[in-house]
Amino acid sequence: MFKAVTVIGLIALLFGCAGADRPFANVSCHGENWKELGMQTAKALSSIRTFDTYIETCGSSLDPTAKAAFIDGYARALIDICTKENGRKLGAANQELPNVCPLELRADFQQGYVQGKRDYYEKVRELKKISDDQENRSLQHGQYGVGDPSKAQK
Amino acid sequence: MKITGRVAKQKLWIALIAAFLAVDTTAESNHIFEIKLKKPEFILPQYSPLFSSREAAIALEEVERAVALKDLLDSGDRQKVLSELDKYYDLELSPAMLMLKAQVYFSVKEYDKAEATYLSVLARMPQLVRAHSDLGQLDLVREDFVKARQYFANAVAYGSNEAIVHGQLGYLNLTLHGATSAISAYQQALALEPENVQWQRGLLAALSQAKMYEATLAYIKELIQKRPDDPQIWLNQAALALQMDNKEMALGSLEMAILLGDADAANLKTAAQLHLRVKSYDRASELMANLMSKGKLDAGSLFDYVSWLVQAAQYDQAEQLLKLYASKLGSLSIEDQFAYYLHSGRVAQYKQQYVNANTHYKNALEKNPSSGDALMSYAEFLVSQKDYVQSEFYYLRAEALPQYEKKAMIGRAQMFIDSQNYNSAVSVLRDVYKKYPDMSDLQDTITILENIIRNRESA
Repeated sequence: MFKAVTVIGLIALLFGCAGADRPFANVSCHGENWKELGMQTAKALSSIRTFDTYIETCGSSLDPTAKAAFIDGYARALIDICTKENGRKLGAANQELPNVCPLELRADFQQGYVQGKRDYYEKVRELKKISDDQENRSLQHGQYGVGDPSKAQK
Repeated sequence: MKITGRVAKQKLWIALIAAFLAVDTTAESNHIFEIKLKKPEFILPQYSPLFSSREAAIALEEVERAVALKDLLDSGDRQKVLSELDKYYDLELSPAMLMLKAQVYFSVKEYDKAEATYLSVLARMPQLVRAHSDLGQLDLVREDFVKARQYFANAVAYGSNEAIVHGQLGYLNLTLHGATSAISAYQQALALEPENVQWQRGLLAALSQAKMYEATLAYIKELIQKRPDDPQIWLNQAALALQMDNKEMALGSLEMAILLGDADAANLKTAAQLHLRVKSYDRASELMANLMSKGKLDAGSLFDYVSWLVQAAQYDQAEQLLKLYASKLGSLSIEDQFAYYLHSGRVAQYKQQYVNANTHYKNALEKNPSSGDALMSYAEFLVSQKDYVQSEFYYLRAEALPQYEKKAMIGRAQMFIDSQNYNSAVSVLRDVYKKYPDMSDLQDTITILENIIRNRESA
């Protein structure tokens, strides 16, 4: 029982960072802060094609400056997102590698991601080791409990 | 003081000639010789897609798409390429694909879109040499030379080793910042492409504009050795020789260029002018006749040459040129027709064709009755014909023109002296002196004339 609780707790710790915000669905076609929305979309690691849904939804009522502002915000956010450090965080959280970084930023980001993944598997191994150790200890504890030599002598 | 009539007349002539010279501002015209050289230019490179660029990488997942686009480009369907690329957000494309998109926009002359796309590449890769150099070309095409120069300078600063980039930078430096700043750029371009005529021309222009004559001449000699049949190089030598004030060398080089086929009207005119300077009038006339036959000799140039020939007493040549031009008389402006008749009148007068001269002068005055030049020339002609009455009439008309008043009054006084009407001469000269008291020499002439009158009266 203790083993199960510990492993679940550690795994929860490992995945604690997972699950970022997603861009909100309710967007008004006019008066929206498109740049900010672009930034949020990027931060949520959603594709730039998210904007296509706004085009489809809004049609001709879409603010004519929306696209440029959205792309601008999205591109600016990617500069902070597509870093080696962020890649490592995502990998370490065992998240999927997002396909949002432009080619020139991709190499560092992917390198960080691979390192993060390595960190993740290392942690999983450590957890498994801890779990196995606990199991062994409890097994040993069980053996002594059942056939206690001192009790047997009595 | 008693002076004999002949001596007095001689003295009067000298005094009046001196007065005339003081009035006459006609001096030998200072011709500025001009040789028309081909100017350094910028070259728009052939469109070339960027798949093999060493600067901007292509994404692995784009390779297949790039091959498909290359096929479209090879078939010349650039709009299709653009529509394919437009399916993607710029951020989804690698800088290499984005460069391709910008270049296709450039090639279909959608310059604003091309610029925006290049700038989006630079936002992602600020030191991408090709994007800087392409933007330089784009701004050259759009004639925004300041921006173009800056992009080429950036390309060089970021390590471009393309001759065209150095060459364009040379051209723009030459245009915007003077010759010295262009020399190094052209030298770099030439170091990469030693046989490129544009860079050679550019370096020559830069060196000569920087007045580095010895270096320019040495370079020209080197080029002449390589391409002795290239008239442009000979023209460069001629232009340089003129800058160095070496007219013989200039003429020799120009004649060589003409011999090799250069038939530019400006160069033929310059050659003709140089021949006039060195007194080879036959060749000068031949060149002018050549120009005239090609319809490349404008009236103004013709009259300049005629004036030269008249100054050099080459009346036959002058007359011949004027006669050759006679067929075009009807197509000339009234002003040019006037000039034509005036020159013809003077030439005829020098050639002692007095009837013709008289007709030409009258025609000239018919075209421009208020020309001081024509009135004075005709009045002088009439004096030479001893037609003093008519002469006085034209002098008086000239006197009505402020610019010619003094000259015409002195001319009229001289006419009176020629006709031995000394009283009238003194009267006119007194009027001149009253109006122009700075002509102190006139007082001596008046005194001489008064003496003559007194001597006559006492005789």
